[in-house]
Amino acid sequence: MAVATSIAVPILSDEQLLHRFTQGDNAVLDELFQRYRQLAYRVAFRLLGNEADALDAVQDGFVKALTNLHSFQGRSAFKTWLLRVVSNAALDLGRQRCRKETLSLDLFRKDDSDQGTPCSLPNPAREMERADLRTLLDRALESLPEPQRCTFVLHAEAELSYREVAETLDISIGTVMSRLFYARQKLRAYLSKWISI
Amino acid sequence: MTVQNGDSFVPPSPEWLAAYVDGELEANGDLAGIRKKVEYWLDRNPKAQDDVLAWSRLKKIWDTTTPREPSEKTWASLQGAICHGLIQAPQPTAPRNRSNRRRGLMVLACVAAVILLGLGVTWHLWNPAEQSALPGNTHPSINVEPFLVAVDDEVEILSITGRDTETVVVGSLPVEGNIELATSGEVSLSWMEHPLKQSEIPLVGVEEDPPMIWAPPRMDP
Repeated sequence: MAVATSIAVPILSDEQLLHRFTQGDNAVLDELFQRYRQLAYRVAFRLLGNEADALDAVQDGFVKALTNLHSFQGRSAFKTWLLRVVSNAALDLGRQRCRKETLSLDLFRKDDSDQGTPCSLPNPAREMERADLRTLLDRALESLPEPQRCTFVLHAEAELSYREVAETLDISIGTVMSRLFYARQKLRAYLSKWISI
Repeated sequence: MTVQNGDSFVPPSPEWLAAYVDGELEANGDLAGIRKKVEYWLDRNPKAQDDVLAWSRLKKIWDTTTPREPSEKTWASLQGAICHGLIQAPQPTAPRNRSNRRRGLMVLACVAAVILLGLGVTWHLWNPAEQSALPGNTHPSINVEPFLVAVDDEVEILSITGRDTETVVVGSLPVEGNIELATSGEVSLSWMEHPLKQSEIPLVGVEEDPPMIWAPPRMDP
């Protein structure tokens, strides 16, 4: 009778992986990348608005984080530190590329006779194509000041707690809460021009 | 916990409203009291309730627009690019070696700063007159006549014309050495060439060529 056995592979902590990496074990890069690639990408995508730029920011962020491990003193989690580096890389990239595409938002209007009237849809999330809605949200995010934008994305997309966001951005929890409040106000004001919210 | 006279309850701060929307005010625990106050206030403020509901709808819109994940091929390509970037970038050093190197660089920087400071002080102490006598010194400022200033008992002010000012400079430019300025209490106007009209005030002004003398507007009776 065959007996199946399973070997439990110990899951190494981030600190253990980083220690191995600094000792020259490049194989741990695969594990680190697998753990945080999606989160880093989603944050970068929200800040930049497109896949290509987001991938560049993630690449830049990972390289910077892993070549500057001496700056990571372990006072915060590696996740929050990495997201800080990635979000800074994304913001830098956004400034460099200085994309100021103007988007015609007419597609969000009901018809030509309703210029300036928000499209009052009973359920905008269903009625509007997901891509269009994301574009609208991207534009709304771009209208926020950088600190508010970054704070909001880290909380809403990376699902970091107030404390984690505060650690990532090196600000107080009160500042996190305040920025989130004003970011939501502005996003709502922006979106309400186009959709009912 | 009951709220006495809830109508006088101060609206919660934006921070607490944000925390309430994000579910950070636990029903149990230290923040339970704040949660109850926020809920009490929201019950009595429909506009604020609308805001909170709008934020919830915003969250739903946000969740429906989560970026699509790249393909595995894209991830693999990205990981390869990161590895390539790590190979090209300077290798991270172990913390101990790094701190020693950093310490060494700091010491070197401090020594360099001290040397530069010493050179700067020495340069300022060096007598410019001697410098002009040095062979091979061809700096254009060498031939400029030094700033001459008359001491107070060498000058008698006979008359002053022009606009007023708070200080008086007596001498010929350029100036060297200490400048002695007459202050407003040290100069008095005893005579004017042309009598003043009723609304005018005496002004002591600037001649076209220095020396320039200024005097305060006050006059001795």
